[in-house]
Amino acid sequence: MNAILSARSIVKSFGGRRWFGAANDKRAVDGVDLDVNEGETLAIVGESGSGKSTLARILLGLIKPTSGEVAYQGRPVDAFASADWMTFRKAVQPIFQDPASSLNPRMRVDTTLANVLRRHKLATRDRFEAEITDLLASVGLDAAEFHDRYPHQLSGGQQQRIAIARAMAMRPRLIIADEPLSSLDMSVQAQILDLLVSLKASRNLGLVLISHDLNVVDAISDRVMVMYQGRIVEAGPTHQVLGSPASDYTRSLLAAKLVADPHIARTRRLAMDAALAPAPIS
Amino acid sequence: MPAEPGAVLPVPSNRFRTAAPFDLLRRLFRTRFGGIGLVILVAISLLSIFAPWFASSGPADIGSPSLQPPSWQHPFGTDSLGRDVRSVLLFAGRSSLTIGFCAAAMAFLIGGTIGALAGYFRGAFAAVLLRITDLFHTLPAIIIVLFTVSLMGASFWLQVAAVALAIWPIEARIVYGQFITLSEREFVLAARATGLSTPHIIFKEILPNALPTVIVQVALDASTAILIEAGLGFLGLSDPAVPSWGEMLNRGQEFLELAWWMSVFPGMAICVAVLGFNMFADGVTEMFNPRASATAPKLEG
Amino acid sequence: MTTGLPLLSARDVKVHLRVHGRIVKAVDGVDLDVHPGQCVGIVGESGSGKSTLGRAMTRLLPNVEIAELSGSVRFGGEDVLAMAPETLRALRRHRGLSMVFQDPLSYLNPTLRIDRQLGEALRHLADRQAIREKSAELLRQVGLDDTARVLRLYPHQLSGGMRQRVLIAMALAPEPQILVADEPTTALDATVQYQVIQTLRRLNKERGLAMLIITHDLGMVAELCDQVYVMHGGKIVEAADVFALFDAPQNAYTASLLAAARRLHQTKALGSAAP
Repeated sequence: MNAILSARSIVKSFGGRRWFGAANDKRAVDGVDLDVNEGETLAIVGESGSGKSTLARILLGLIKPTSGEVAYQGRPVDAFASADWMTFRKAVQPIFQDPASSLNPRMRVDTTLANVLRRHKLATRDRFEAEITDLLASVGLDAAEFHDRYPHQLSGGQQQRIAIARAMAMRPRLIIADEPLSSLDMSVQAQILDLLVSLKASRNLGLVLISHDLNVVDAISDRVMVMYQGRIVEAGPTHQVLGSPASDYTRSLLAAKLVADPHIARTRRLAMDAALAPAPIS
Repeated sequence: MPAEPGAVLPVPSNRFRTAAPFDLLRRLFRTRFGGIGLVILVAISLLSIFAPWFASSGPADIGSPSLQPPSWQHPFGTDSLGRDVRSVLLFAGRSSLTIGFCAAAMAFLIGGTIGALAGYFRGAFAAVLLRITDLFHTLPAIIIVLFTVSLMGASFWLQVAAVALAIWPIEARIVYGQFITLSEREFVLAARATGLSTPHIIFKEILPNALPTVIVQVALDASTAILIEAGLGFLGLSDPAVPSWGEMLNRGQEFLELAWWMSVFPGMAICVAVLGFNMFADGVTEMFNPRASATAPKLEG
Repeated sequence: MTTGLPLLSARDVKVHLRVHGRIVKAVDGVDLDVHPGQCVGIVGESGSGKSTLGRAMTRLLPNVEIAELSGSVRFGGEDVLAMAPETLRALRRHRGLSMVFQDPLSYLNPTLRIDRQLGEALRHLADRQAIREKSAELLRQVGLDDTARVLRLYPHQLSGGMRQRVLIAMALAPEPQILVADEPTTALDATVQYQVIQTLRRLNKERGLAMLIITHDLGMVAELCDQVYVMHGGKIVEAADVFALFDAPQNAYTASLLAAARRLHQTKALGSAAP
């Protein structure tokens, strides 16, 4: 099993040095190791302030870590020449949380996609239109209707599909998705999730899924890492971490998970109330 | 069924809505003052460009009796040299407006470049650029301009350069702010992650989104430039060979009691020009910024 | 609980807005009842009109062009929509409708400490001592027990969950009969969200405070609500007891929403790669 992407001892601190005294050490990421293998889905679970988004950007090579190393196919990215970076960029692609802001508001759908095609010479100019049509079709959109739209003329789900099309244009090997479903309506979430799953299956894509939604994590990931304040507090196969969590934090996350079923909700609540209530005097 | 992939849901108005030029114009005219501002600017620009057609005499014609109050023959009166004030006003408008537009353009080029580079690349390089910007910013515009003009003379294009030198820091700050904010936006991150080149990101991704703010600032710079030029002229430091509104004010100073029309009409012209630019800037701001009252709930009753 | 007269009764409420020359029927003929002590949920996706409905009912519509605002919202024997401004203000100050919004940071004054802001909401009380005691009690009601400390803080010093709970406390100050909450837990972390939901539940069950919860989250509805209205395209497409709704939805749209929520669990069978 080969790791496409690996990270060792990643530390990222923000905040500059004070004039006198020690450096102001606010660590967003505080010593993280991870590996993502070919075709696998790794979920990173955490709440706000856990550092998961910062970690995602470090993995994407958009931010440099304060210390630690990110390696693509065994080679550290620090040692990359520009040609290596191009290969890396084609292989590792992002999907962001807010689909509206991940698209240039003043750029049409086809221009956005064409820029990518042109940059990586993925098609000759006369083939652009055909390629864009295929890309849009692969994410479930009719090119004739959507190719000349601007982001504000699209619904949230459609915007996210375009973002996915842009990521897929380069036939990546790994997608790093930072809360890709959180801004979407529930029914649309299911559709986008299905889309990601089918793309993954058809192209053996690896997926790093950052999410706070344990239902989604349970549904599609192979392994889970739980992050809290910049550190990994628990990691392992999904069924193990979510089924028999070892850490208190994971347990509290699971306890807070909402279920769309009033029977379960009431039963669970009664159990919690009973656990808190003092024992009756008999 | 919840919306199919192809369904379009009604979308609320978005401030970055891009559209054909006519649509932008229509939106400008729907704002409170933007349309009026644009009309004023177009009107005074046309009057200046076609000054010879609108003026009754050339700028140097001194044939008429001097210091005549407004009359049918000379609607704005004549000045101390016997020139028809209305005609001089039109020709002077050419230089005043040219200074306004050109100085603003130069300020944008200098300040915009510095602001963009500092905002996108950041780091130590940006810090140096920002300190230089601050240095120029703290010096009062008038001082810079007077300094430059007294050093190098008052020829027309030197004036333009001097005024540009005075106002570029404001432009730099604005562009810097835009680039700092926009380069954090996810579509820029996506562009970087997709491997798009830096020039592409700066010019095709960020700049078009910074445009509304930049246009507003350039319009405001132009009105500032016209005011600075008027000040220069008033102090007698402008190019004497070229009539300008400020220079007319200078001439009119000593005749303030005798011939008020020599000062009032150039003064009004300056006001109208400045108003025009400011109203236009106001309109563009209103077009692209969500109106505060539309987003916060207003308590009824 | 559903017997007897409703506390709040909306009939044929319509809110048509004018957006760029077009008429958008945000709310198109909605009937709704909230009984005393009941927790009612309005569930819908974005664009369904649920937020507009909530704001119309509390007369807090934003400053957009209203083409039509009709129907009646009867509360305490009077129609909220037709009320005179003074009556409305009196209602908001005491024993009326209170509303809690989505984004607590925008609705708290950043320059005032919490004690001052709560004090504003408690202006109707006689003296400073009474205000202080009531403020502390309100904070305790929402689970913020360290009242002395919280009162001295500014909004930005509080976490998101605490801010939202302060907002709820402020909404409780005028002793409302109904609390209307519009997406009260969006943008909050899961654990914090759960705390806020439990706070709301306690207020509803232990203190008998009637509630109208507007949300897109079926999980929240399952946790909190007794009666559910499903909204789509400005209309109510289904109204039922919460158990009935989840077990046997009558309307195709409701069924699809539930299916989507459940599908998230089933995807595992299709998609995971071989280890």
